[in-house]
Amino acid sequence: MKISINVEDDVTVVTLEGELNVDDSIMLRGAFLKILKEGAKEVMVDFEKVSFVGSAGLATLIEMMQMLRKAGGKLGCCNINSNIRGLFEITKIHKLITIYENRAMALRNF
Amino acid sequence: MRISESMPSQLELIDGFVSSLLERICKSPSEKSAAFNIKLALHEAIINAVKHGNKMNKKLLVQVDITKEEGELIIQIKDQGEGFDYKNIPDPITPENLEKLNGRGLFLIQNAMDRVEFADKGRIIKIMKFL
Repeated sequence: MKISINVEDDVTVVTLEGELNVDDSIMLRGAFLKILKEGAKEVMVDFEKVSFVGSAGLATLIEMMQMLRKAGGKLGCCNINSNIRGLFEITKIHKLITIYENRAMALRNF
Repeated sequence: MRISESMPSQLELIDGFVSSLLERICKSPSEKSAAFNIKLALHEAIINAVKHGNKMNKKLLVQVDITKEEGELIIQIKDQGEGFDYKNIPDPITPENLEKLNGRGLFLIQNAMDRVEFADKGRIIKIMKFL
């Protein structure tokens, strides 16, 4: 998995590319802890180039949401394909993490 | 079609193992459209076998047997652990469990496939999908 991070309108955007499996989730967690330590409060994960998410990926997203909530911030996700959106819905994770249609909409409403 | 493969209980080997199996299973358009769910179920079942069944003991194997006949895909995953009480699995979508970091694997498998069965005290999970 490739992870790139940039800041747009005070929101830290984490762009993922590939699959969010076991090893990739460990990598995402590491990258997230680094930006959290640097003071990121509002974090948006862009899933446009993500083709697969497993339970390890879902767990990492929940943990990120919990850590940001504790720090007074929040986590959002955008550009999620229909298969992955289905996963968010059946596991009800969409009730914990706000999902935006695309990045522009996310940054406008975050 | 029949496939019989095994892998040692190492998390870092799962992604490659699942991808190689999926390439052999999903070839027709209907199989490709079901590929996400098959991959999800296979992936989660093997993670469970490696982590919870074989307790990540590299000396223990996860055995995967796949048959595809008359539009039905049957995948059996077997570990060499002590088994588990598959009749008492907490529901991960109740409010008290929603934020827990573990416990979604089996729920995802059940949602991704058409039928799920257990045998041998939970050491074997058999997952089926109509293609």
